[in-house]
Amino acid sequence: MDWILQFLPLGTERISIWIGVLCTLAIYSLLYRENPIYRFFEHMYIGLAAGYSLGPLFVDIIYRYWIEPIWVQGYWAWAFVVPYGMYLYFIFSERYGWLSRIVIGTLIGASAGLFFQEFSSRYLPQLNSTLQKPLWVSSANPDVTGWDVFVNFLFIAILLSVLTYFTFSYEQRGGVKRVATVGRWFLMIGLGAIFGNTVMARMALLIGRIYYILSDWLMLPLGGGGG
Amino acid sequence: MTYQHAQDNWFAAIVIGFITLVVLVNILRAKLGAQLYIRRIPGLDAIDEAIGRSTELGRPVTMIPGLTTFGVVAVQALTIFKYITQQIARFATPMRLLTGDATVFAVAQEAIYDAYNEAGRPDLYDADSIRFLSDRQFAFASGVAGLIQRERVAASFMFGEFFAESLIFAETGNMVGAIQIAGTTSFTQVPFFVAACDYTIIGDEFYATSAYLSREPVLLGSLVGQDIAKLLFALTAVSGAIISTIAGVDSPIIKLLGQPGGWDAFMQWLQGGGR
Repeated sequence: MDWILQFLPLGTERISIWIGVLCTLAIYSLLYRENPIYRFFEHMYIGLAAGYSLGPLFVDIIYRYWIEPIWVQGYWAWAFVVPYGMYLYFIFSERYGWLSRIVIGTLIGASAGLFFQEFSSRYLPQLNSTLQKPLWVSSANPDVTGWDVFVNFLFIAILLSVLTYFTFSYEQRGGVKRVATVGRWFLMIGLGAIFGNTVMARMALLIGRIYYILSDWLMLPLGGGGG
Repeated sequence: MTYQHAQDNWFAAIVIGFITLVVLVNILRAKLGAQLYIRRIPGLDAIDEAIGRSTELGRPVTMIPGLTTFGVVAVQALTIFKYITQQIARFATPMRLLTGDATVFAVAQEAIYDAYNEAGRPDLYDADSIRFLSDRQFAFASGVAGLIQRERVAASFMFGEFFAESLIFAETGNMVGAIQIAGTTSFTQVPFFVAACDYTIIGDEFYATSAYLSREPVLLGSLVGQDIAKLLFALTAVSGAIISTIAGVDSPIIKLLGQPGGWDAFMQWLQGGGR
């Protein structure tokens, strides 16, 4: 009797657990087939997400990047930014639709420009790490071992073969094709490792949900903690 | 240890300048009519196959750029979607383009309208077939999964940037028996597409696909320029490894080839007579 009273959605905490379980099971029901319950919760989820987005939109973007710089820091020139951005809404007008293209052009230009900086900060350090791979034991690198040399050779071989696979401006045939095929195999081995690693993380999420249902909702004495 | 400005290492700025120049020269060559060769990627044949199948079944095609925010990747994805739309316009096959980014949504509307126009079927354009679902990752995923199931799509094309939701899309497509072709620059998501899709376009193949399909001089020239840059990187990697073996991993030349402050260290080394 006590168990039933504790199990029922009496009190705010139990109600929130019941809602959580209901949402979980409704979304999981898609695994069987699409159904009206899933559809209801899907639409509710999207609606809630849209509503939830308004908060971060105002606090993290409009307030932080527009209102605060203008009113607190005195950068009045920012006042022009939002009206300019709102030109994008002209996309819904047949007559003034061309105004939206100005904003789109700005976005594309900014994106391309930022990519230059991203290229420097992301890829050049990688390139520099690639250079620091001694290929044999020498007096200049006294700490390098035979194993390091093997790993460095393997690294350079994988790098060159995968890079060969990702070239497109010529027909790959003969020796080049064989090198590219080796690169593809290396790539697949790497992807397999990522797959295995991520599947384990997903299983942890699933276990967390099952734990929530069994322990928090059904109150089974499982012990430990959910994921 | 990152770069913010060209003065952090002038050599890096020179390298980027060189790559830019190579890309621009090749774009110019393409614009002047040079026939730049791009090898065909196996997954491309599957696009036509998937379109054919959805036409036979009379079921819609979905195109999903994922949560890609508006930028280079989104533009490339929309280029591929434009090609697909032009193909399906010939058979009046229904399509759905589902996005999680408001700007991509706005641009996609224009791109798809253009695609129908170019195919000579502007009457087939339906603004409601391009949908913004949600910018929240799993709300978007649940919306896409629901639509794929409800409409029993025959073919699903996923091109763009994807995150943890990639497997949800691919598995749902699998459940309804859709032919699925995916291409992403998000390296960590490629394994899921390889596992669950019929064809997967990996990493840089994504950019090659849009260049191959559109034959746009800018894309073709960029791709050829990038190949030259890759050759440059390969040569730098091999020669750098040899130099670091002979001169040590802390030698000024190694610092020059990619560390912030490396230019100054190299110049001081040169002024000191290479000691």
